[in-house]
Amino acid sequence: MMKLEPNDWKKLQIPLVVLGVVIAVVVACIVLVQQYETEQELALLNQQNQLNAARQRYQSSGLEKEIITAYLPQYQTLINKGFVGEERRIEWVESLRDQHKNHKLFGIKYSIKQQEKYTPAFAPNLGGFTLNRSVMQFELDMLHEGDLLQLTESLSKASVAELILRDCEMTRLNESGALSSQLIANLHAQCELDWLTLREPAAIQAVAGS
Amino acid sequence: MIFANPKKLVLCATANQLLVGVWHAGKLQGNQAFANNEAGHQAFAAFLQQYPSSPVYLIADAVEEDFRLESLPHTTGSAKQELITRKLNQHYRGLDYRTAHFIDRDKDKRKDDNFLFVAISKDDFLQAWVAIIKAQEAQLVGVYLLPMLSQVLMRQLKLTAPHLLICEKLSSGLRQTYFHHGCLRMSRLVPNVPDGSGQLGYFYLVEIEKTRLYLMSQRYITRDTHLNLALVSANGSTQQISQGISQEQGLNCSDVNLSSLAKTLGLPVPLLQEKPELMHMQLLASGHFVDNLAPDWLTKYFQFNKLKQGLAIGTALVGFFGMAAAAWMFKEGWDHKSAFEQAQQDTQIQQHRYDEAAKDFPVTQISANDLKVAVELDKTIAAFPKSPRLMMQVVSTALAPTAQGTLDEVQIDRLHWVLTNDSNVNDQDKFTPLPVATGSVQTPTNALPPADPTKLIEVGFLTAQISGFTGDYRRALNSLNQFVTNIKADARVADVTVLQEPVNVSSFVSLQGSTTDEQSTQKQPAFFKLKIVLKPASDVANVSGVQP
Repeated sequence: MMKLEPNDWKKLQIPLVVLGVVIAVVVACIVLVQQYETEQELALLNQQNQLNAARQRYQSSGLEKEIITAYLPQYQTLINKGFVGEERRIEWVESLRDQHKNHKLFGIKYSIKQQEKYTPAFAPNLGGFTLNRSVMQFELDMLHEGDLLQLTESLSKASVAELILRDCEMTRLNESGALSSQLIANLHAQCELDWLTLREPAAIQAVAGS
Repeated sequence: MIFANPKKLVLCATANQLLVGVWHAGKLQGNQAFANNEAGHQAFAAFLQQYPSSPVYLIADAVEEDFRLESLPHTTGSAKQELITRKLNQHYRGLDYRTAHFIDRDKDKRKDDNFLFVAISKDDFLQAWVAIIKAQEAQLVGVYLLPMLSQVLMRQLKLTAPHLLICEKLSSGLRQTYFHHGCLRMSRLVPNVPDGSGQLGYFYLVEIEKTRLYLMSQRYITRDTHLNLALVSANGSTQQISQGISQEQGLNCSDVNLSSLAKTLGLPVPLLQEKPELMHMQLLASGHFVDNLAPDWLTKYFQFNKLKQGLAIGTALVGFFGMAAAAWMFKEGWDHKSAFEQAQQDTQIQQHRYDEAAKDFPVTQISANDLKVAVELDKTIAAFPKSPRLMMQVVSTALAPTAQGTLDEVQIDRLHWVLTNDSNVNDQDKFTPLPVATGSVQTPTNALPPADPTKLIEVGFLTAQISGFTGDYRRALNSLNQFVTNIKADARVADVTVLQEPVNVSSFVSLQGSTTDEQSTQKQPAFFKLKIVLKPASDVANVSGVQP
């Protein structure tokens, strides 16, 4: 095996430097080109997905038209009754007062909590919508249990809000069990409802806002 | 140039002269002889300057050679190298030109390695030429012994006799080389070959006999060994001599004419006749390398040049393959880019087609899918019960008079109705005071299998008491059991659980009371509590065929 002396290493300096430079250039080129290739590949993949989606959308445009035609009026109804869009709390309070008057009920105490996002198990697919919920509680004294049925069913029919009655507790006020012949409360009810509203996708809200 | 095919210089040094041949692409381009004197040395130095980058191969053809056959224990790697170096130092201490030629390995006993140790015992005839080569920093590849190239020649001529003695008439004299089964064993050079054709035959005869005796003395052969002689000449001039030896000595002697081989190798026969060493030089120039005798310091320039060439070739290869790989990857990326642009155009076309088709759509910002989702969700919510009416109906039906009797004594104090997807939901009863522990029936937390979480079911917690309870526990329990039976009989009910009985008669809990309870004016109330789980509305509709 040949032994290299310092003088030999001096002579090898230029070839070694050239080799190092070539390796560095080659590595740099490969890294850059690989990065470029990866970027292009990802862009292509993304574009192909978009193309497939566009094809699918075009191919199903007939069905889409049918769906829009069938569901748009119903959707408009949902907007009108307040299921889609902002909560209409004033309308709801007015509706509650109307029910109170109409059914000649004792006083109704109510509270509406802050609105929050809601993902119920019975609605796993919400599309582009966001579902919001305001938990609402009311309590009232009743002459008999029919008052509660009238009130809750009337609130639903009023179409002021999309409600789910989740919890109702009725208790007898008179422990003896005898109903009074006078016009005084015999029962007390405390209920909890979910007031649900759908929020349209942000992009559409922005377009509508502008 | 890295990949250029430079000219090769093959030198053959004898005691009197140095024959130089210039080869290019395996063909002899020219030759020149330099006398071993001052003028010859100067001329050679001037000649060598013309070929600064050509590799130089030096063949030594001299009397001062030594051959030793020796067996060494079989070793490998550095151990083998160390052993050989030790042997070389033992035999040829102080000699510059020496090597160990591996012959074969024994097939029996220890399976030793057989080596032929070779050296130039006196290198005076080489020193001047080597000094010039070194001074010029010429690319000396190695120093080779001519008899070792005779072995190559023997193989080229396909001479396969087990005991073969090749006799070659060279410029330096008559060289006799002995091969045992194709392997070189020894060689001897006899200078001063007589010129007369009459004397030549006798000279051959005498020298061959001397060699034979030497071989016998070295125990390479015995007296009875059939030694094959091959007299090599460029034009068959030794034919008569070989015939004479065969007839007179009874030896198997053949004449080997090199003219056909020379033609094959592109070597002019007249030139070969004049300078027979050219055949050995040609074989070396053609790439038939044999063991090198030169020390490392002498071939350093060549080795160093080879290292530089290796670096240059490595650099070129790294650059070439690296750039090729980069180019290939770039092409892949470019293809992806082209495909991306094509896909982009196709997407636009599809989008345009869709836009054209969508012109007829009713105007809406909401996608069809979202419209459907919103409407379906509204329908789902609309299907949920809007009041505890169904639960009240179930309880009311159960309390109605039946053939088994009336349940007028059951007084409902509290009804907690829950719409949930958890059938194991618990009740937090804050209003009705129920005795804890003694009268309670412990219900497992997950008494019912988990319901479908996507469906909401109605669960009712009913707290009631036996009105006018006088301490008749049997009657109270009968009333409760009747009430529960009536509820269970309702097709809309999935499950009824008694959470609290008026009195717990289980042997696993303690029971307290007084026999005067019935006469007591202070009556203890007989509370009980039920959990009623209704079937999902859709299940009831499927069973009964009507909407509840």
